[in-house]
Amino acid sequence: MKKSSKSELGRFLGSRGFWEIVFPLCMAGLSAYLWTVADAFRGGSARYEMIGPSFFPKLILGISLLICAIIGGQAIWAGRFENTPAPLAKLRWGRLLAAATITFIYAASLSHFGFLLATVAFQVMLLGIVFQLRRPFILILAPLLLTGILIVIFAIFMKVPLPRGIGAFSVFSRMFY
Amino acid sequence: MDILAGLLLVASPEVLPFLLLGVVVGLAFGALPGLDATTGVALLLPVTYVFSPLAALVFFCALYIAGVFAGSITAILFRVPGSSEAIMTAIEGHQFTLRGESGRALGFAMVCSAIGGLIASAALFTVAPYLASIALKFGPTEYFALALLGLSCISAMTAENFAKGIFASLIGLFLATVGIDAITGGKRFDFGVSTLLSGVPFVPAIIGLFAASEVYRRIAVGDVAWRRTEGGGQPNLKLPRMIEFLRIRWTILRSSLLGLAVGILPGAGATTASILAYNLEVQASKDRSGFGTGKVEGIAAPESANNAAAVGAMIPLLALGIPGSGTTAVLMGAFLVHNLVPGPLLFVQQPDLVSGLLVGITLSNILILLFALLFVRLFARLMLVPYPILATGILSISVTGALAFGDTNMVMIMLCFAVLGMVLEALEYPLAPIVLGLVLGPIVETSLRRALLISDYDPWVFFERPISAALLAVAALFFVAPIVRAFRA
Repeated sequence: MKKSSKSELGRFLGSRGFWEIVFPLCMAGLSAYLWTVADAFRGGSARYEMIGPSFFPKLILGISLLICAIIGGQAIWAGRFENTPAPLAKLRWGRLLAAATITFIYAASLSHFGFLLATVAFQVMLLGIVFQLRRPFILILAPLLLTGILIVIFAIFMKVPLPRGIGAFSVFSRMFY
Repeated sequence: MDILAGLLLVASPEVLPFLLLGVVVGLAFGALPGLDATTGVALLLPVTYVFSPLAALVFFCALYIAGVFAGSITAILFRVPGSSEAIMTAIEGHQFTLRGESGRALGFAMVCSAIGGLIASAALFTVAPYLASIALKFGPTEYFALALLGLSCISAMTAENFAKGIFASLIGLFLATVGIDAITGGKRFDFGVSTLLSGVPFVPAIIGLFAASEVYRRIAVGDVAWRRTEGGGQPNLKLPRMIEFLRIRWTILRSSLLGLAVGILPGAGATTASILAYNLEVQASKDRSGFGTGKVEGIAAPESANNAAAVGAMIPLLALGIPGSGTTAVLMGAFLVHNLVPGPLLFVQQPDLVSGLLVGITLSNILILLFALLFVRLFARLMLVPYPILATGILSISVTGALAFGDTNMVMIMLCFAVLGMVLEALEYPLAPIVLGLVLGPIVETSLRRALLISDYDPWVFFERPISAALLAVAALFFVAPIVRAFRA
């Protein structure tokens, strides 16, 4: 009996219908929080007392609260969570998380290691871990080629100041752009 | 105005190479995400010190016009808008690529862009000063009504789930309030992050929403096999046949005129023009069902409008010395660098330069057709690349494009938008209204507040002025009509 209710709950949590209700609820909560943040904005002059910096954000957040209630209400009214399939449960969460983590680490490491090294490492990891490429030749050649093209176009031709890194990495980057 | 003298000047060996170079550089800047025509003009401004004034100005105008078109190349092929003006083309045009018809979509985009630009060029020659003076009659109430008209296309785009469409646009409108308040100068929703003081950066946001989120979505659903991209193969660029062209002639004409009108308005811009033209086309179409799934009119309208708007933005600059867009503001710098002051006196003191410049602008639109063929072929070859390599390239370009706008914080913002885009798409919220909100948000807010301040908080001010009342009535009609139709269906 306990197992059955647990699997019911799991199916419910995995269903899109569940998220159809939870998402607008979360958004309503976020809107309410941002309303309190907007409350602190001051116009700085009596002239802007009525239509100060918080006027428009509050208008938007107020309408958002209303729309969230409508969307959530629609989902409950339609009883979507009872019969809908569970597309979210079918996602490849592992690969998605790996891709997101690799990109996040890449973005965070750009200023330390410089664009060249960080981009090559990012591309090798993405191709090897996320796309599970097992051809060493392509795994090495493709990132070098792609990064080279990006540096030539963005840094050399278009003069975009791509990050060079710090210390020894900066010296290394300066050899190329 | 002596057109022949202008033509001879532009055809001279001192100017012609710079016209050609401007088109090529503009196509390169426009096609690459994160770089646009404004960046191109700003970056290359110091390079042109040594050019003659006409060569420099023709170079920048060609760069600007080609850059506005080029955003559609990557928008159609990879759903990565090279520039913000191509946002509606990304939504409609990429559907053609998924069907293996990218060549057809690119052909339509090219021809419609060129024609839109040429129609606006004709206005530039004939009625520039007159049109510019009308544009100056637009006050905050008219701008507010115009922006609402732009937002009204949400109902047409999302009639099946209007509430979700409205919510998505509210996300965009809210994000547009982040940063320094344009009226009081107060900080809003920056949460201590200095990057956010200048607002949510538009280009990293759309790169994240459309390009990076699509890669993550495909990773999540496991659609990343080692094969060509959908519609891959050697895409053959297909220019529209005469019968196809004649079928959309009114679409091109009305979108070009709308684009021209919006382009002339200071601050409205080519992105707003393409959104409004798409909206107008949806409303004017007898069969609205195909929009969003790859319809020729959905490409023709925004592409004609954005190039017409780019040329239209030159009208207040040249006729009145008022820059109508970000790029024309930078272009004004190019005039000043060469000791020229744009405005009515320029037409009197430098008639040859003005006629040469106008001919240069017109020729740029024709040259787009020629050079775009080469660029399209170059980018289309990327479709032959297996998806894992292409996806890695798209993510890398997305990051580099975001970096072109600032530091690594821009990359983080781009990634946040990628996550937002993926979550919203998974829950069937449309992404396009977010962009509408983000583009039109600043216009809606500042014009609403200014109008209310000027009128001493009288809301009737929006209905007292004829242009704003008419625009509001049309916006209300556009909002309500698709919902009524959906209910009836």
